[in-house]
Amino acid sequence: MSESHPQSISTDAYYTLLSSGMPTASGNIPVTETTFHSESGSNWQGASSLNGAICGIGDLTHSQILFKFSKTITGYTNNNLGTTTLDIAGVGVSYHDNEVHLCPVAPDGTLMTAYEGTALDLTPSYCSLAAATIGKLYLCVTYLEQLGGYCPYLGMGVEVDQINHPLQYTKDTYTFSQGYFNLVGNDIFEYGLFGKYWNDKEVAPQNDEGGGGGGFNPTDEQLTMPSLPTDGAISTHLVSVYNCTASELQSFSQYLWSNSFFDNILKNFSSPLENIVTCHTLPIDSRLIASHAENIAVGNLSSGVSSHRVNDNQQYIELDFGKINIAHMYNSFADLDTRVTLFLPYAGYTEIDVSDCMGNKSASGWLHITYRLDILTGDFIAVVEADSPLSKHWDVGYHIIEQKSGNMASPIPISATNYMSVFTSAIGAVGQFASSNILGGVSTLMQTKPQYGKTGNIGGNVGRLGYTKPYVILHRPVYKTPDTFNHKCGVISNIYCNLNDSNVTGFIKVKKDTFKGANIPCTQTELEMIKDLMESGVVTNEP
Amino acid sequence: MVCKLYDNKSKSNVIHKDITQVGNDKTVILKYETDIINPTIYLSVDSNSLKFNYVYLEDLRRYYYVTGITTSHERIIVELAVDVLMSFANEIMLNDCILERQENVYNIYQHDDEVPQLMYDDVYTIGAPNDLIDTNNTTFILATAGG
Repeated sequence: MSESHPQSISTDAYYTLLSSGMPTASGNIPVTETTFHSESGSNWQGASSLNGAICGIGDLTHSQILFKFSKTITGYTNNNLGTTTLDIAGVGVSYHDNEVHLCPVAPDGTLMTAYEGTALDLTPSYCSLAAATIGKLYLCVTYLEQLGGYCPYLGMGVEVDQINHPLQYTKDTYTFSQGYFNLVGNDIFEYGLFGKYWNDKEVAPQNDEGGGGGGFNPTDEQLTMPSLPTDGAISTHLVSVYNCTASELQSFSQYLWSNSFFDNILKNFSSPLENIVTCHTLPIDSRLIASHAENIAVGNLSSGVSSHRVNDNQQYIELDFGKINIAHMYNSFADLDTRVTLFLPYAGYTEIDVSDCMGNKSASGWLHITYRLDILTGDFIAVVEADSPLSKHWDVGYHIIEQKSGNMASPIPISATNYMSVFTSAIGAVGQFASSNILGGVSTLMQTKPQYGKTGNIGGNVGRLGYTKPYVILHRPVYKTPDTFNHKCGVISNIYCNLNDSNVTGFIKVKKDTFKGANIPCTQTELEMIKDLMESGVVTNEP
Repeated sequence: MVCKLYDNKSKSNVIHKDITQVGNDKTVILKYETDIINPTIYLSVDSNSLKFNYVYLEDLRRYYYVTGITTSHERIIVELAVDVLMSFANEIMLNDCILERQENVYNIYQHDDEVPQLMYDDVYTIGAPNDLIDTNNTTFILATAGG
């Protein structure tokens, strides 16, 4: 836990839940803040244009936990709201009068006073779909650093109409004067950092573009990333890894070059710095790495410098950058002429197949980027998942379409030029006490060409100077057609049908040799004339 | 032979022509040994003689474009060309076929080379929602032997 953070309720809850897995029925988060906060800013607005629970929290910092409620609102129809009274108060919210209210739940399970202001607007205008299931409620427990306090905020979101309004958040956030927010295990089925993708995908693509579907039904296995490894070098205790602050490293440096250190270490090792396996920086918040207070040790020596030792299972962590939604522009083939380039910090650019992620008028496609980081080396693998409503995989689930490796560590040169002068001075002191064999070993070290520890690579240093958030570049083609283009020229069809179909009006161009001209009482010459005309393009009638 | 004279406002590739009858039905004489596709008729001159461009010949059950008119004493000689689209419109529309291009029934995701594309692209950038890499918020990792 970072020393820069005071002990606070939300932080405790954060780390407790982070390390303990799924919340349980007893996972209460006590709240002691005394202010009521109504936020009218943009944090909660604009979420409707984004897809998924994660996107409405764009301005918040990393220190947040999302909890998702699984209670589904049912009995909801297009113009008839609230036909069924829904009992979801047990999970901290209540639903009545077409509003969603936050209700803190006391430890004994009884509801405390609900916030009676205008909560979520569930008026019919938000809901254009008639469905037995209209969506899900979300709760977002956030921890807002930028407000200068450390108070937990609760925000509500409800996914109402997944096509036109995928997610509506309240504009208000709250703190409670007292009481508890009760996390009921059965109703919270998933939580995670940074708005983990909840894998909601209820929107099916509309098949209105015509054409035959064919009978081919390929099998499709949804590949999902395995859980992060919990065992690694750290868990062996052959190395001790510390999540330090700059001041802790300064203290350790003073210890490192003290006589006491060399007195002890040189008795066992030819090179004292061999005991420093690596020292580097990672451009992430230290609180992402779960750790516990412990003095820095070198071998079997305790330095006396207090720091935070990384927990055994924290060698590998995941950074979830969230989903980038890719909306259509033309809702036609022209969207698939878009060139999609994805930038991955510390890994560079990669081209993405547009059909993997392009949206249509029904829903957005998306790219979901996560990094799996080895904190000991700085190596990471960027995993890009994608889905598109245009894809037949849409109903199956998203796909992993790209994995790219990189390194984001910037090595701190303990054993190279910056420290050599210090090291030389130290050797003088060491030499007075060390045996000739040991001193010989140190001399060998001095004669070695200065080298920086290769704990990272050039990517880590250079990447630090670049943009640090994934983004996509869309090169969308520009198509310009005259206003009457469809009527004068038609649109490519390749659809087999009867010309008497009520939809077949206006311009018609028949594919060669497919118009038989059956039952037309004309001469063969006239029939050939008709075919030629139909194949060159005719108009059923003109206004 | 009964003939209807029309004013046709539609282009030749329109199946159901927009036509307006000019005057009353006429009785015309078909040229001897004429072609059903390109017949010639003789029509007496009256005030409507030169106000039509389209003809329907009932006995032949066909519509015709007027392709030429020649005057001769008190009659005019009209050269015609059959309009197969209008003549057999109903029968044509009962046929099945594969539509190559159509105004209302189409496949929007099939590439259309006839749609003109400009030489430049519109370029957009969209960032990921979460900014987790923060170069101003550095984590220092120190690993030592043993422990």
